[in-house]
Amino acid sequence: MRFQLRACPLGALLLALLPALEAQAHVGQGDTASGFSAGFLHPLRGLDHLLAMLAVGMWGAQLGTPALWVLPVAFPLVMALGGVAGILAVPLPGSEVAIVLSVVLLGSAIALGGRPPVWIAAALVSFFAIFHGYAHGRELPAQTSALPFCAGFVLATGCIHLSGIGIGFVTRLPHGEVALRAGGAAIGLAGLFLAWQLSAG
Amino acid sequence: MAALGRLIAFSLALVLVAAPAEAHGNWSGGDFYAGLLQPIYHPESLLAALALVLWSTQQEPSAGFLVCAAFTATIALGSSLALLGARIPGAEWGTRAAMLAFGPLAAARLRLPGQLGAALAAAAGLASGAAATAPEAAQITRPVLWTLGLGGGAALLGVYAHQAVWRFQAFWMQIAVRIVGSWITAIGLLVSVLAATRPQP
Repeated sequence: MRFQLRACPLGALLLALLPALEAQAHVGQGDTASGFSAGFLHPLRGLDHLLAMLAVGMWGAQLGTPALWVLPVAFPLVMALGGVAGILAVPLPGSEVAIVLSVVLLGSAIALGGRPPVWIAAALVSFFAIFHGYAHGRELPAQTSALPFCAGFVLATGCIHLSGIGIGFVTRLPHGEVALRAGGAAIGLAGLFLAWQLSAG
Repeated sequence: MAALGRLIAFSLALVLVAAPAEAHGNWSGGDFYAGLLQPIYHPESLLAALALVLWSTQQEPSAGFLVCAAFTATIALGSSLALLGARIPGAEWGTRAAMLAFGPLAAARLRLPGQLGAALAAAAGLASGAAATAPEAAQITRPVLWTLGLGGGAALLGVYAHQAVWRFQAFWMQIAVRIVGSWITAIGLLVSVLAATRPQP
C-alpha cells in the first residue's frame, strides 16, 4: 500500500496550523497560548528527545506496516505514563542515561536495517518512551496551565514522529535505504556524543 | 479526490491566515455563536468530542451514526441541566474520562456494539455539556440559542469527521485517526493527573 503524499490535506492543515498557533501568542491569549508554546517547544529544545523521536518515526517507516503506525501510537501512550511518574515524582534512577541510550540504540537499529518482529520494536520504543515522558513530567513548570502544556508537548512529540516517518519515505527513492541507514548511523553517533557529554558531567 | 483535498486544505489555510485580523474586532455573535465556539474555550470538551467522533468513524455506519446522535442529544441535555441550575457532580472528570475512554478505543480501532457505544457517548455528552456550560451559565441570556449552538457544534464535528474519513478512505487517514486517538489519550492522562495533584492557575 502506497502513500499518496500529494493528496494529504491533513499534512497541509497541520503545517498551516503551526504558524497560526504561534501567532496567537501575541493577541492576548494569556496563559493558554504561553502554556501551549512552552509545551510544544519542550521536546524541541532537547537534542536527545528530538533525535530519539525522529528515530522512532524513521524506524517505523523503515519497518513498514504495521510498525509504521504501531510505534507512533505506542510512544505517546507510554510516554504519558512516564509523564505521570515524573509529575508524581516517583524515583526513576538513570533516566538521563536511558534517554541517551535510546538515541544510540534506535539510531543503530535503523543503521543495521534489521527487521525485528513488530512487538519487539514496540516494546523497545515503549521502554524508552517511559524515560522521555518521565523527563517531561519532572520538568513541567509549576505555574503552567495543564491542558495547553500537555497538548503542546504531546503534539510536538507526534509531529517529530511524523517528520521521522516523512524522512523514512526516502527509502522509496533509488539508494534511499542506504541514505536512511546512513541517517540512522548519524543519529547513533550523535547519541554517543551525547553519552560522552553526559559522562563528562 | 486529491484536488478536492488540496482545495479544502488551501481554503482552511486561508481562513487561518485571516483569523488574526478578526481577533481585534468586538463582534460577539450572540449566544448561538458563543455556544458553537464554546468547545474551543473549553479544550477538554473539544478533545473528548474529537476522540468520540474519530472513534465513531471506525464503527459500522449505523453504529457510528447512533454514537454521534447520542452524543449530540446528551450534550444539549447536559447543557440544559446546567442552565437550569442542576449540578452534575464530577462533570469535569466525566469529560476527562471520555478522553481516556474514546482515545484508546480510537487508537486500538476497537469496535463495540452500537448500543454500548451509544450509552458511553451519552454519558460523555452529558458530562461535556454540563462541564462546558456551567462556568458560563451566569452570562447566557438566551439559553435555547446557546444549547442549540453547543449541540450544533457537536453535530458539525461529527459530520466533518465522518466526511473526512469516509471521503478520503486512504490508508494514511486510518493511521491518522489511530495516532490522534493516542495523542488524546496521552493528553487526557496527563491532564487528569495534573488536575488531581496540582492546583491549576
